[in-house]
Amino acid sequence: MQLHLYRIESLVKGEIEIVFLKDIIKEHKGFGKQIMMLAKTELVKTYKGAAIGPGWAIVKPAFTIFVYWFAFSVGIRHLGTVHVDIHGHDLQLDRFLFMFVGFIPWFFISDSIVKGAKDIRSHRQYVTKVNFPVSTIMTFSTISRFYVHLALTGLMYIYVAIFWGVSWYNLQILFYMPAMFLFFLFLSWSTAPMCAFSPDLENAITSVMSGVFWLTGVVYNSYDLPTPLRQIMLFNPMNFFINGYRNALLYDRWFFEYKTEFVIFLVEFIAVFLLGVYNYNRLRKKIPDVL
Amino acid sequence: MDSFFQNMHRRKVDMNSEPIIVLKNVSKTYTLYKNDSERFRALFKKPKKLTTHKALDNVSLEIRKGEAVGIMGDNGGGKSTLLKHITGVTFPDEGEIHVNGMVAALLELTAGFVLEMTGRENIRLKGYILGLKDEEIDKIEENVIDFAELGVYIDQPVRTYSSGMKMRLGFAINVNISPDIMVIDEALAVGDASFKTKCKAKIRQIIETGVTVLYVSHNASSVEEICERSIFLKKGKKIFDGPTKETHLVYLLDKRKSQIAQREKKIKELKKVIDNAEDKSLLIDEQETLDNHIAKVETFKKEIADYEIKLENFRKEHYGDKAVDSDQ
Repeated sequence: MQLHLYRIESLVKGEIEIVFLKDIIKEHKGFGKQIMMLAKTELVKTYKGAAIGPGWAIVKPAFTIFVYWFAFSVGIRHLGTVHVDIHGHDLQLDRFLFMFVGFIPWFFISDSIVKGAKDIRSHRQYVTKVNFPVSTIMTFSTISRFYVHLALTGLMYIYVAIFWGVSWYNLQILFYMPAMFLFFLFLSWSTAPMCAFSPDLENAITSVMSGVFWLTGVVYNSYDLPTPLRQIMLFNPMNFFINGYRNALLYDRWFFEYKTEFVIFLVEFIAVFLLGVYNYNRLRKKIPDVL
Repeated sequence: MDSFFQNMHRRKVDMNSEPIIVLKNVSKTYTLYKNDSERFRALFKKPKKLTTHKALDNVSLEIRKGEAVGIMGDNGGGKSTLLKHITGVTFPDEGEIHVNGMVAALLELTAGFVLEMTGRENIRLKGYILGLKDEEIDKIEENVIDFAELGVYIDQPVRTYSSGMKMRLGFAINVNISPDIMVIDEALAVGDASFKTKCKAKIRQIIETGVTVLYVSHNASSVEEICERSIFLKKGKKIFDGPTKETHLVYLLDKRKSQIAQREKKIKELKKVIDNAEDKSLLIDEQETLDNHIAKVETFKKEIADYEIKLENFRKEHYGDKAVDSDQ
């Protein structure tokens, strides 16, 4: 059924071969159905045993959004409206709608970063007990997080459709969603094997995440900042997705319209991908020894 | 266990058949990090000084389809490392491994269970982890449930199971996936006495169907019952590979020799202490230990002589009058 054949002299000598994607593709081949089932299992694992079960996937983010909305619109009253500059004219948006659209991708992003880094460590029995295609762990975990994201996006879209309206620009979601999925999957190819090596990195990631939230334009408009900051924010790939969801659903703007932003994102996307392949191949064979 | 496998029908192994497991000059060195921060730093740059432990040292072996091979050796000899390489969990630093078939390991029976899911769901999950397709799992599901004897509990979450029930379910899954190679590591202490008997019967049945078996046990007699051939590993090196009886004698000889060496070292130390002491009457305890050690060494020496005779007899019987080099 399986035939393994390894030649790993190079690891001993400290030379690192980048076998571009070959290993990862090989691990995924013929495993598609299993990946989908394991993704489902992940969801079951998370929500089973609780009375409202999958309801928690919605309750938790709903409460978070409510709290931030309360703080901004009720607590600090004059922040109830967001002004966005679209092609020179001022677009007035309800703070809740603005935050709602920003928070939905953010939930997926923060979940993917924090939990994605733990993917291998939290599935250590797959690595140390059985011969398992390790890279698929990241795939099925990310898919299971993506399911939650799909459900939340669906709910959000209903709200947007009712209170803001629909347009052809909304279709861009179909570009942003898979791009976001891939970006954070590739990111976990780096972070998960590294965190398997050392939990320090995992703690570091968890620690900085709440800071990263405020450096990302989830509750405020990152385009609306003084000049140097505004440009710096373009280098935060999370802003690309969050502003992207707003481009598609609220601003009626195409993803390629703001060229600098798009090019910076593309470069980052490729870099994350290459780093992911490099780190995964570099560490794959050492992981069972340190877990 | 003991005499359970006696009178078992021994299969004939075609020694010209394709080997199912091949190891060519396999070495494995574990890096031992001094502390967590050293391991963290190793992520980014190669540390200069490293403490290493050679778990496998240039091991080569071939196992043919249908063979039952025992693996002997003390703790730290490299037995589990060898099995981990064969199951494909760990990767060698040097050398090549070819494994041609599906491996089932009776090592960690309960690994990978999700406590919140039912027994039935866990069968499916474990099947997926082992790389089975839905149809294959459907085929074995009923057998597993029957074998595990869980009754109505099969549709309850695994978290409600007793540890014995979990073991039974794990065992049932592993033996029912019809593997080509089965790795058994003394995992036979499953559940109560009657279930234990059932497990052993199942293992026997599997062995008789011609599945390749790798068997690790500290109990030499049970190895002898199952395996015609055995491998003796010591400090990661393959010391001996041959008929189980011979391997066992070689193993015992080696063990006694190293025990004698250990005791003699202690005797030397004690003698020094006693000789240097001014008031020898205060060292009654030491004197007693010393006498004990000396007596033990004597017994070991007798045992060694005994084993050597047995080994010689076995070789005469087994290989005829051809002289056999004792350090094969």
